[in-house]
Amino acid sequence: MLSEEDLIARIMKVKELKENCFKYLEESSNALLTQKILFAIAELTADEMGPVKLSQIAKKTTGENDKLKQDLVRLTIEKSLLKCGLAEKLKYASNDVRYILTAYRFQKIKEIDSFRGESSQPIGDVFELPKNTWPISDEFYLLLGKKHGYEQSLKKLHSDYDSDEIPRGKYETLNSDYKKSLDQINEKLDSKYSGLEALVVSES
Amino acid sequence: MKLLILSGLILTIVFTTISNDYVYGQFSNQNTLKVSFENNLLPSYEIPLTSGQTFTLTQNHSWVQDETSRYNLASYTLDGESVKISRTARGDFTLTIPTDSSHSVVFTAVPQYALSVEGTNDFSYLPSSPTNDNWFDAGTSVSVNIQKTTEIEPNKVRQEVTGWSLDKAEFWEIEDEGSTSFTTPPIVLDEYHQIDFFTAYQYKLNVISDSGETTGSGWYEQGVTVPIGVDAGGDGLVINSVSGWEGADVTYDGNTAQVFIDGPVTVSAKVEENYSLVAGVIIIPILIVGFIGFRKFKSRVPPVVEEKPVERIVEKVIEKVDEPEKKYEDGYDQKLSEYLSEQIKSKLDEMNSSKIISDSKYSTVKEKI
Repeated sequence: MLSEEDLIARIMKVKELKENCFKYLEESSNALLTQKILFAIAELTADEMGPVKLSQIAKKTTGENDKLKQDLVRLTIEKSLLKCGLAEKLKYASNDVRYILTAYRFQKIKEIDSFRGESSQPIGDVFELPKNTWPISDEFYLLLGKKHGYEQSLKKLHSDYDSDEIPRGKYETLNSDYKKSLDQINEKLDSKYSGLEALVVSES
Repeated sequence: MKLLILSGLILTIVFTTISNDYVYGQFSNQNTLKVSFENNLLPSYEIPLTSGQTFTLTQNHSWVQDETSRYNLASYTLDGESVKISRTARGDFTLTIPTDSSHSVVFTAVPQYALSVEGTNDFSYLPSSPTNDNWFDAGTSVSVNIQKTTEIEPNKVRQEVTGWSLDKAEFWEIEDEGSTSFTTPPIVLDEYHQIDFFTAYQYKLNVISDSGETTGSGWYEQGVTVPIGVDAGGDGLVINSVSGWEGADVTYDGNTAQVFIDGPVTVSAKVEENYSLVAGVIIIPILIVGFIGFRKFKSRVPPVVEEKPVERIVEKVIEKVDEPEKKYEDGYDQKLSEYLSEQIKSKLDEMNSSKIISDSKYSTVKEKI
């Protein structure tokens, strides 16, 4: 299985895609099986927190996972997603092959071939898959919730103390305890999930 | 005639000298070293030996068989006499060969497979590798012994091995049987194998109190809620009672308390001394006896004063025994803790409605609050 760090790295990465591959992400392709598979892999990976099997993808995209459907999904993955580098195939054992997306945020690019050599030029904004399909652990969301909770509780504590609703001793004890907890949460967010909070919350 | 005889003699001497040199040269080039490998693991070869010069035969200790196996030198036979080789994984084995005559060397090597261990650095192989690495001779049964617990921060954070898998195919949980180490069943090295150990962080919960015995202290995994308690006890007629808890993440409803484990945490019980029993058992009977005595005394003395000073004294004494009226409301800790939980839930609700967190994860995370 992949580590949490590996999954986070896939979220943080912005993958450049040529127009012929970026099309699979666009609204106009929402009826294509390729896009359905892409989103299915993302959603299943978020639930499993790791690469997913062909049978699971087939079941989610077609409602069935018999051999025929699995072959159809496998061929589609190989011809489009693997070829474009949108997904990768991981072989854990001879009978255990799983798929995972290479990134969750994508930049459409146009390749320019000039006398200076080949270069690429970004087109439009970065496209990101829905945040609720990102493979992020429960712990991270819990930390975000707690961070907000402790921040608000500290505000209330200060306000109640200013209104003389609690004695000084109790205020100082609670203030110290809550601050300590908030510091621990921030420390964990900054170390284990560095950069992810800004991506998930601030830009939402 | 003399000239002919002299010429013949010179020719004979010259021929004999050339012939001797030729024979000597032919003899020195005929000494050879024939090197071969048992079971033809590598191609055989032959090297001419030059008499009078030292010849050193060099052979790699290990060479690759395929992607997941290798051969390792175990012994050699020099002219039929077998000699064991000190086993090592890397480097060259060298052997000085006498050049006085021809020799033959036959190397014997054994196939080896690797056993990789991931997830912990604190492990050992049982038995250890003959080449002092993670490669084992084909057919060997090897177990892996690990220390289940690794201390990350003394008495605060540790890493506990919770399970393991073989070749990422079969998974087993490691039961907590009180042992500090774990040994896998023997694994036969007839091919490459990989063992992965799975770990979880555990945090220390310290439950402390100025008086009485506490319960709940120990190591717990993140995300669990642990019931804690204290048997505050007492000192004679003075009874100790818990009025609250101090420390992060304690939920206390007046009777039961629990701690949410989100890191190493120390919580302390706030214990108050309760004198009501002292009042009930000693002071009040004294006052009642005093009051009755006074009534008797009063019945003998004509009533002069309408007031009942003793009753007032009793009331005042009882007032003194009772807790003084507090200016501040009790249970603020509990209220703030409830407010904290509400705020956490509201943030999760907001993230769920903003499509930041999926419905399934939202449900799971909400249960962990």
